[in-house]
Amino acid sequence: MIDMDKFVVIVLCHCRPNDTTTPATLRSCNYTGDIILLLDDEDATIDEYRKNYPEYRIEVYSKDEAMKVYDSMDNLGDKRCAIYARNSCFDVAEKYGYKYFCQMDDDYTTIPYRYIENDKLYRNNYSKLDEVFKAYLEFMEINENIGSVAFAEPGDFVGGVGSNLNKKQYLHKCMGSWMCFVSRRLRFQGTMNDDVNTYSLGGSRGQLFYTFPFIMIDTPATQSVKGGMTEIYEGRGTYTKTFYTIMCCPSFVSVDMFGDRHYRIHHKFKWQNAHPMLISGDFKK
Amino acid sequence: MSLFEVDKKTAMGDDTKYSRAIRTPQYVPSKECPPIESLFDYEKYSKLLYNINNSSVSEEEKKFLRLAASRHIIFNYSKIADYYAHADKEMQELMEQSALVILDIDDAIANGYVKLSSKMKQLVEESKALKESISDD
Repeated sequence: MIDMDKFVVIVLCHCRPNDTTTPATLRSCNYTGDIILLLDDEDATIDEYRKNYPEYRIEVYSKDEAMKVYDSMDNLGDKRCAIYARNSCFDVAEKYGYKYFCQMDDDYTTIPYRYIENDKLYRNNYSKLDEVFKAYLEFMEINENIGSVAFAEPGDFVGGVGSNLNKKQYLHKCMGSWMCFVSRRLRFQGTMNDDVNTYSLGGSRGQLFYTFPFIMIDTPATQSVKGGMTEIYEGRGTYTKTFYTIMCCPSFVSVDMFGDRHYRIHHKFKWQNAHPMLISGDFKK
Repeated sequence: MSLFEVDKKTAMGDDTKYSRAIRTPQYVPSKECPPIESLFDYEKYSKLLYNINNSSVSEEEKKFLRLAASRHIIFNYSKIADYYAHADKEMQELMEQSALVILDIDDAIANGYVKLSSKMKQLVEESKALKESISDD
């Protein structure tokens, strides 16, 4: 039985004290539960966050301490990466007695339902997030192999009703809104592509990760808002980013070109080789 | 596999029709048992092992490199699931321990997904009604 008093949304923040839209978006989508803004201790704008968001708990973690524990998969020493915050979420949730949390980035503008009618894809912003979070957590509660589930992202619907997500109704990945159980700790790693590294490596070892098409997080165009991870992606590009996942899983990840007219380097999965299949227990002898 | 596979692709493919009939996330194993050698491809692994074995690095380093080379073995998980369905009890248990398949005991995940889909459908219908009532006002 899921106890929603033990659930919190943790928003990963960095140097955007005037552009952190996610908390207000959550409230506008009828989320009434707790929200924590997670900052690192090297953020020069912590006081501005405290001033701008007095209604939320502001939690600050030590980046130097986190760097001693988590694997950046390189020796660059670049602190501008998300793994320290992503991994610290588990500690923060545990510290305050939560059992589950949803980890979100700080720039979400709407969280609409997505649905099909008359063979067309629609959106509806009147979402009831309290109930959605509970339904997703109840699904996760079923099996401890489920590492995380996530809301869809706009890119998952490219192709509209014919998108891969709409046709399959689930993808074996998580991005941007990780629903987590504190007791099922995930290990985010890699200076770049940490989310992909996590679901690809975990998935290859039998953890289950799902994105479903029912609801979506809306964000500004990638790397259009300053702060967060924008500068590191602008500096090194997606070519370098892709290779972090290849280092994790060289047997099923390769470099690919991605896009429509304007192509960019991206990772490509051979899904057949990426993760074990979920099969009915009826096949067990 | 090659690290560079640069194909242009279209998002729609050849399928433009959509139906949201619930598809559970279970794989259904084939009635045919595949030959065990079809479950994996170790061509790159073999090449790496050859180079490691013929190198002058220390035995300790070779041991590490051999283990690391196993990351390049390509496993075909659908065929592995097919094989599992036909394997004897002991083999099945060893495959489970290695997470080569994930068992959905009592179809709990599949049923959970159906329940989640139904709940989300209900929430969407409620939101559509709410939107219409606000538009009417």
